[in-house]
Amino acid sequence: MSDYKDAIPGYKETIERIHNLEENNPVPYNYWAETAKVINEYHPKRLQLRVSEIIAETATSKTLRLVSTDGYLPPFQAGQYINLFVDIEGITTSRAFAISSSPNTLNHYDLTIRKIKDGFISQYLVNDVQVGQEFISTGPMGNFYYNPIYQSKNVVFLAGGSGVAPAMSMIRELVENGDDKTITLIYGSMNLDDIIFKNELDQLANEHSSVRVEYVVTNPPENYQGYRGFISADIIQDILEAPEDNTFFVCGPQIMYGFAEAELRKLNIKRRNIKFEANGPPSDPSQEPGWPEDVNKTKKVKVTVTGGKSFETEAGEPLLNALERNGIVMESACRSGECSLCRCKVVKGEVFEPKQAHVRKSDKQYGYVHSCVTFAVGDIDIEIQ
Amino acid sequence: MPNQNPLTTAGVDYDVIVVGAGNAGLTAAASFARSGVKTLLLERHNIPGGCATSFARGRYEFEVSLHQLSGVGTEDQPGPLRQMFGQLGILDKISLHGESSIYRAVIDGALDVSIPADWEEAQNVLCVEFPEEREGIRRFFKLMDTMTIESFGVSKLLHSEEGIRAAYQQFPTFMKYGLTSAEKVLNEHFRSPELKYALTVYWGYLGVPLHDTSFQDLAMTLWAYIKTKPYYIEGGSQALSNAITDSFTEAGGEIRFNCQVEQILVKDGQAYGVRTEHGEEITAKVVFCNFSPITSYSTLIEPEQVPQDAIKDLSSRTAGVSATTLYMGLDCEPEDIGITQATTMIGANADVDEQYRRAKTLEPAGYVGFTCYNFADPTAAPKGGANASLIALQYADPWLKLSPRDYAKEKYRYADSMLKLLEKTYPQIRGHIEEAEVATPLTAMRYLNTPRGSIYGFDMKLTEHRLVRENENHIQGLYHAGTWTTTQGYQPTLQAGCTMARRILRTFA
Ligand SMILES: Cc1cc2nc3c(=O)[nH]c(=O)nc-3n(C[C@H](O)[C@H](O)[C@H](O)COP(=O)(O)OP(=O)(O)OC[C@H]3O[C@@H](n4cnc5c(N)ncnc54)[C@H](O)[C@@H]3O)c2cc1C
Ligand code: FES
Repeated sequence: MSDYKDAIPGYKETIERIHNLEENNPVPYNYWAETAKVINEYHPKRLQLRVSEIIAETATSKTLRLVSTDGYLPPFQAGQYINLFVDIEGITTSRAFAISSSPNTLNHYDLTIRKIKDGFISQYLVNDVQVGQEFISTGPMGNFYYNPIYQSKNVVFLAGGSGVAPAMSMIRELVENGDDKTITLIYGSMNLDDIIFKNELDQLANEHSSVRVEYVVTNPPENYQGYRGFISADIIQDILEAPEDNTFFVCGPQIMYGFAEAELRKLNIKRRNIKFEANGPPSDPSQEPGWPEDVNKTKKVKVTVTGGKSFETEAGEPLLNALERNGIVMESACRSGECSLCRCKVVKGEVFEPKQAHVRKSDKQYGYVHSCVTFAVGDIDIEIQ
Repeated sequence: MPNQNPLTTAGVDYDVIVVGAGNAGLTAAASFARSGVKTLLLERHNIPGGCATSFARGRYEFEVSLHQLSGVGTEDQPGPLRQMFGQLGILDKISLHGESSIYRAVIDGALDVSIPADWEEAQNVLCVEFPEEREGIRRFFKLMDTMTIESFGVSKLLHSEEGIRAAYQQFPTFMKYGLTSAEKVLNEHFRSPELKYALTVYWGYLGVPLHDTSFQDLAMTLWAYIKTKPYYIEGGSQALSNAITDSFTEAGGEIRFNCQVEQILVKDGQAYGVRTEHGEEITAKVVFCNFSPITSYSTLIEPEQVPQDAIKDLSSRTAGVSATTLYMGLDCEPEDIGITQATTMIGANADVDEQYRRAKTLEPAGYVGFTCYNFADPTAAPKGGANASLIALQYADPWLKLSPRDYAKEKYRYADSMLKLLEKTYPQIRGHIEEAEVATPLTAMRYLNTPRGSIYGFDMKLTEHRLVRENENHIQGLYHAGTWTTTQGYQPTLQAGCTMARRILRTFA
């Protein structure tokens, strides 16, 4: 053809190669379908779930066993959660729940939920949900899982209340796979009858030398023989021979975190050996360091969405919740400041963001926030792009 | 300042819809908006940048893809990228830091040399290290210089027979070596496999083995990094993506996130808009795609509207390499464990062909690139810590064959093999990891929706060279720019968006 190029060294051979390729692959491959398949198998955006069984665990907690309406559930790593969408009282909102079943069992996910006094969603899920009811959720997410590349094979779980759910998933996986790990669960509860999974935990600890379970009870009966109070450095020290050789996973109510962190520090546990599970927005942001002193958390503030509506909320309410209450549904998953799905831009006004907001440095420069852990401390204008 | 709108928008929603907010999509969108063109930018993710993004884990923010930015140059001698940043109005929004060395090249027990980012010094260092090959080193550098300068000059001549005939006379080095492999030229100059390796560890930035890489690509890559120095941006590539986005919206551009385009609307050979995942049809005079033309022609355009030429052109091109990356937050200063510069390129041996072969398997990595961001960005890690990443080229193919259930296990096993190779150079690193995350080719598929998770576009074999292929427009009003239309990497893609936008703006005028 274009022989004026023939004098270029390598030209003829390369053109020849191109022609051969054209003949051998007449149609370009459908990569779009291939990618869609990967996303559906690994990280589907939404799961359609049905409650197949409800297991009463304690007086205040239940396990909802969820199956997929289309039969497929994606894999997850023990410790991950799904974000469950709930419509109640005309509001669409969502909450994250760790999966308590084993990652080996992918015909259902178990969510073990404890109702929180005055809790909006947890009360509903524990009291009102019926077998057969359907839900939508995100796929499994979160970074609270074991990483064999650098973490110690000796894992210690400090769990409080329903924080035992991800530990349960990890323990179940360990005994099923027979890994060379060990897990010590140190599990704090307010009362003896608040302990979730007690029978199964006792049995697993009995049958498997790799599993050890110790309970710490805050208000035990007088004759109680076990550990009392909260999970303290003394108790941890008493249970573990060499605490510094372990990787610690901490999961429980918010008040437990500051306490556990201080106790682990007393034991000289390095930061790299401690993992904290995400745990929702601060229940009282005005107690967080950096909250403006002159602002009361009940202060009325006005939020204006550029090109959208305006509404009033209280300074102490997370922006994401306020948006949802006003019918504006944003993507969200962790509701703890970590995943960035609820990212939006504050174009005017003052906000408070607690330390747990993991906002990218350059996002801060342009006023982007994670709305799930952002509090308007005055009137604000935001942009949802 | 935005100029007056050179277009009339009668009958359409926008002048231009840019689909995809990766490097080229962003620079194109900003160029359009700053020229007063009514522009809509659509992005399927919830943040701009595509590959040029970051994510937070614990106390660290991990850079997804930027290792070294070429083409920036100094304030006194600005390179093309710095000039472009000026034109886009973002120079005062970002903070750039240069490095004094391009990389430390290591083969355990056989090679350990740091190449300075200075044309003369780089040669001197290599001459000291390989004294018996002095003459070859000088000749090779001279040839790289000539090749690069001729490559810039020859561009405008390549589109016509007349031009090509002139090029034989005016740009003889380009014509002679353009379709010659890097391997062949290296063999003509050097004997030592280690010396060759020291000059080709950037093969990882090219993504194909040296016998199928044009000497031109190797020469231009080394030339760009050594002459204009590797740069890094404070806050990482996200800072760049956010800055361009800001410049775009300041100029009146509109952006929508979480908005995947599922159809490109075409009628009678003319693109006139897009349909989004939300079912909305938006019309425009120009649809500018920042993703692969394979996606457009194989999926997003109705088959009867797809020209045969486009199909034929694509059928001879293959989706290129992706990567597995281990992102690490360390609980020590880099110097505490012997890291003294930003970039270390490590080969298990000097055999690039073998390293490339492994990129198609899940066998232990034979080649890794290590970046410690502290050196180029003082804010990259919390005080007393370090921010680092370790990358191995990988094709998606072996990952696609896994059962999803085995994925996590394989991912850690593979990352472990990468870390083991790194530990030969920095033995204490594993014990200092505080946060770690692994991304595989499947991760790139998920976040970028790119064929086979390719991070470099098509495999940049000799069959992609400008002398044998032109990127043509098959449909009126439909354009593509990004890693699938140019050589891979930040500088080429950032420039490709701007260049293509300028070309389109000229057709408006
Ligand atoms: C081009 C590119 C862009 C990236 N952009 C981002 C980004 O915007 N945000 C970000 O956080 N990371 C991003 N990353 C990094 C990437 O998320 C991590 O490397 C990732 O955690 C590894 O993902 P994986 O697909 O291997 O998932 P997995 O190993 O399955 O999971 C690990 C991570 O993905 C999430 N995750 C895990 N399982 C699921 C699931 N089933 N469904 C949903 N999420 C799950 C978790 O949050 C966790 O971070 C990017 C990486 C690349 C290469
Ligand atoms: S929902 Fe995850 S950061 Fe807000």
